[in-house]
Amino acid sequence: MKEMLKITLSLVAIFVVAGMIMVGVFYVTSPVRFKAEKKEKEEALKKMAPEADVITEVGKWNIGRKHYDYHEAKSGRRIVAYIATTAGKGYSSYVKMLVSVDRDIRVKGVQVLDHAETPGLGDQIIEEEWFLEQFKGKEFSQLALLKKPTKENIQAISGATISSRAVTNGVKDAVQMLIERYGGGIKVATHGVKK
Amino acid sequence: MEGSGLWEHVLTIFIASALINNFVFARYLGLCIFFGVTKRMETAVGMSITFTAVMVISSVLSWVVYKYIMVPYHLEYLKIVIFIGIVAAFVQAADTIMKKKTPALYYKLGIYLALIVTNCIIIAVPLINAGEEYGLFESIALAFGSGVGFSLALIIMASIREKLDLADVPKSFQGLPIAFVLTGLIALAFLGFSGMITL
Amino acid sequence: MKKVSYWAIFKNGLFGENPVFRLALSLCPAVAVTSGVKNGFLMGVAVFFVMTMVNVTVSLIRSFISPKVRIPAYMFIIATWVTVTDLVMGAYARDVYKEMGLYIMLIVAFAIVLSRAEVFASKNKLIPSMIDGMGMGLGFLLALVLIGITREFLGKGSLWGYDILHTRPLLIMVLPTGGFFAMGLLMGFLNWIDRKVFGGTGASSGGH
Repeated sequence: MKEMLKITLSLVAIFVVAGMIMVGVFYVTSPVRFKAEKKEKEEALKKMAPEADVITEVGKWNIGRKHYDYHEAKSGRRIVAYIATTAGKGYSSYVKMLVSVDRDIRVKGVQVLDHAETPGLGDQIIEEEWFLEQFKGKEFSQLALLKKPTKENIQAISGATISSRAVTNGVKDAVQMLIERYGGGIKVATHGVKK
Repeated sequence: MEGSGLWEHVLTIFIASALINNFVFARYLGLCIFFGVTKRMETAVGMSITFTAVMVISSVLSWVVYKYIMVPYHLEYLKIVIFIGIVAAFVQAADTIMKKKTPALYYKLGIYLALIVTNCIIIAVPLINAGEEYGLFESIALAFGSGVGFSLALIIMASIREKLDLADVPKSFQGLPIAFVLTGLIALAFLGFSGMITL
Repeated sequence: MKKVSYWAIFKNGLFGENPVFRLALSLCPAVAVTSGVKNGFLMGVAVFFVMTMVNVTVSLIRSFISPKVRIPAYMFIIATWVTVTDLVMGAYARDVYKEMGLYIMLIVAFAIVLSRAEVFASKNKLIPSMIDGMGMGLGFLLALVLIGITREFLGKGSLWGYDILHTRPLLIMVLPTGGFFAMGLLMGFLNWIDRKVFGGTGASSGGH
């Protein structure tokens, strides 16, 4: 009985001390982490619309059951870009991205935020810079992935077709959403376009 | 995911975790045990059964604790400690209960129980469930899928390694090195599943 | 343990009982995060820190803990230090954390950490335990860097992200499957050196 008590007490002592260490570290690091995450996001957004002086979140949208947000970038009072976070299903992960479009809902730029695609193959979507460059200036109907050289559409990276498709689909979903919200006058067949 | 029902999603998770993102061949987890118990078919099968059972039950327990205790009280940052605690406590309990109630089964599978706590997969699955904010059925699908995938890996490997005893392997490569090369070859074959579904 | 110099304890972890190549423990990270030198190195640093701290803690409280509950107690100590590492890296090393967050958390299940706590730190004084932890951690780090160099150089023709060869000689090395090949070939190669140069047995232990 006495031994039981001793064992229990020693375990409790360890739990308490260890718990205190963890809570202490958490309280020191969590504000730092929170700030770092916020700053990362702001910097990423800024990169999408360098000419803007305020970028404000205006709403949420979702793909399937995952939630993403979208933003308006303003320079003075004039809206210069709409920016949406989005994602596409890739080979081994969701490729998370930021997509910015101009007032005519043409793609201004695409930035990959986070992915866990295969090193050496899928991660070429970042390393091969021409791939993301292609999206610039494209409008919704041009966002189709081809496996051959193209000026009009998007060319897939050979060896990274699935990851290329993930990016294209993610961008497409975001652009479609932005057209529905801001497109107004733009008439585009947003349905029945093959993915 | 697109507009599909929960069950389709659950099935996708199951197949993806068993074949496409197989823990051994695509995420490289559980290797220590993988190489340890695949020398003989019998141990591989015993490990598979024990592992899958522990996997499913402990991930359900972890899910309940995560959803109803950790999230409401903002204790997510303690997830490593709590999940490993759940697994260890459950394994200990299973050990004790099996020894008393079903000595025959304990005699067969008991030794694998002790090994399980140091298997990365057993802790990775609750962590992934928490990270992806999976629901109960999705968590079970991931746990069961991982269990099946791990079993598949163990059994394939064990059947090859039993044959390997008869092969003439260069001295420096005997044992683990050749096992690694073999695993690489199987992993290459598993790449073929990747086209099936995109997660 | 009799009088053994600190250097001998330290060296043991680096070469004699190198966690990856000799004890064949904790192989998961050895394959998983070594597609590049940088990730291998940083993972090694995290493990080095955890192992040293765990060995120190276990050694400090070894007389205080009843042998009956030592394993759960050790697990708890390991989990604590892993949580600390995880929180610190999440706050101060964001880039790395994004890529290997899950694997950092998995240090908790590494057999090598628990086994050193049980085999060494629970029976030795503070200083030797600390040195054992450092030696083992460094041995682990070294192994990861070695595999990382092999894979990144052969697979991408670069080291630490800097392009050297401007071509990709053996792309398969950085692919998921390449990790296994790289490990197998490196182990075989080290065994061969061990036998030819040092006249050792040159056999890898069973692996657990």
